[in-house]
Amino acid sequence: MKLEAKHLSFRYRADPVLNDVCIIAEPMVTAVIGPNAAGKSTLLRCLCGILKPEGSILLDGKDLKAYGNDDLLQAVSYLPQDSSSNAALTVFEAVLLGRLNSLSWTVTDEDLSLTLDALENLGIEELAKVPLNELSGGQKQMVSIAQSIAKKPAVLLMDEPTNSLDLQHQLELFDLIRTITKRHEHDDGRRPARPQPGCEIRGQDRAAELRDG
Amino acid sequence: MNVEAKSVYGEIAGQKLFFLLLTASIIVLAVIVDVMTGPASLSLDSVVSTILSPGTSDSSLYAIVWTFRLPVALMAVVIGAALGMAGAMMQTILNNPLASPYTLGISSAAGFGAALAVVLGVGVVPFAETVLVPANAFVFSLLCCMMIYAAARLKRASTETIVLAGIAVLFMFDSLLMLMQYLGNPEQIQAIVFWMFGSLTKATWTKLGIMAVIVLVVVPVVMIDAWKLTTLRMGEDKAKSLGVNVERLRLKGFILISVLTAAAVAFVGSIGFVGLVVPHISRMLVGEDHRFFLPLSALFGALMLSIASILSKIVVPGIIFPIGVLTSFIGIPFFIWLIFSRKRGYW
Repeated sequence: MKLEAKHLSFRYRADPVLNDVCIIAEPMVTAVIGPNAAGKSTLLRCLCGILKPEGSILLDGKDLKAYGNDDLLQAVSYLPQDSSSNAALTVFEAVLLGRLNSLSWTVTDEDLSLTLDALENLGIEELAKVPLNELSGGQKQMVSIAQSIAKKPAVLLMDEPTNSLDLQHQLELFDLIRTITKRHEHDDGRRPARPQPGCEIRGQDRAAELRDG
Repeated sequence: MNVEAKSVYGEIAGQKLFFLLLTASIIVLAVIVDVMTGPASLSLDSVVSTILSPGTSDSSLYAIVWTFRLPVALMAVVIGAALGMAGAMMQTILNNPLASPYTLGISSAAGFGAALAVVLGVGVVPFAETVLVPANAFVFSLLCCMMIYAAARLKRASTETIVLAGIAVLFMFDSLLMLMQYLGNPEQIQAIVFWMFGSLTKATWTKLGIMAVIVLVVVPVVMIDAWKLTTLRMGEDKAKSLGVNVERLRLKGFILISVLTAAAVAFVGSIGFVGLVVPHISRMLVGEDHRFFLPLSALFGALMLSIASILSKIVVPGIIFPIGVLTSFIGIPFFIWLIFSRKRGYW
């Protein structure tokens, strides 16, 4: 799936953050980099539909506004930067929430097995019954990541996903994202602020984009 | 794989269901004990047989159980459930452990509304006591909810700001309530004091019926949003990205909370601490999957008020102690224990 933003502008009250930003994210992994306060998080929040910017966002050539709400929610998954939560939930329940759209009063077998899949992908299935507030910062981050991949999105937007992960887990996470991306051919992982060699900065204003693949 | 996922989740959910059923059965026991206690102590046998087969029991027993004690005992359950659920919802919606209908001034607003009707309206409008007073209590608690909601929506309003705004509202309505007492005549003051202390003694089958209908209508409407409310606890951005319309969920929640609280306060006066403490207890036991958390909060609220109702009759024999005083007496030590005993807080 190809994600394309054209002439995106956004301001918080009078303070312009994004000004005429154009980016194209081809299938595979794309990273967005830039200095602090460049508007990376704002860009992601625009792309996932939380903020309503000027300009157009195209998903597979079709405008985001033309998608039905449910289709869009199914296609795009967003992992906020500060996703730590002290909710009194077990890890399994928290990851299950990633499937909110298909949850009804009783939980279906499909939801349950996809939740367990997500946990196993990240190697945290043994934490399933542990309450969130007993986890370390890194473990919480792994849970948030599991939550965002649990609904098997076509587009995965991750804001600083490696926050509070140790080096080994950072590397494992990149491998995992690549594996998932290859497995689903259409997938598009996008992670900001991960400088990598061979970058090409294409942002036209305060948002800079780094392409990697 | 599938089987494993099911067993993991079955274990998590099964435990929660157990707590729900356990609490529900303790409530049944508490209600029976509540009916047994009073100026004339009744035996377990006579209470159970009078409740199960009212036709066959003797008339004085029937009168005590069905006319006097059962409406009060059941009113405690229904009011407690309303307050417990309202508190749980409020803490989730405002993302704040201090939120409750009482601490944010909704009870005071409802009390003031009722006092205003007592001082200005009773005697003018027919059926004033059953219609105008609760209606006014409802209007003012809605007003109070909207004031807090407006504060919460201000740009970058932190949870602390919201609680502070709620406390400001609390003081405002409390002082207005005092003004009403200053203006009122002795009978009116008596009626106002009833609101401030909280009392189940004026419960009748009619009031119980109205209250029960409100709870039975509101609770399913709340429970429809159970998953969304759970998601809201993962953070506002996360909830939004999962498709939850956070603003609408908050607004809807606020309206439902004010309906529950206003109705409760309108019938029994302001009863503190239930809405604040009960959600913390049920959160510790079943966590925050709102499909379990909200019902358990309602059940714990019911249980707490039922126990308070029993105690109100036995603390000073022959006198019915104000129930609002007792809920605080039960609630405060428990709350302090909660604050100091938890190893890692949920907030």
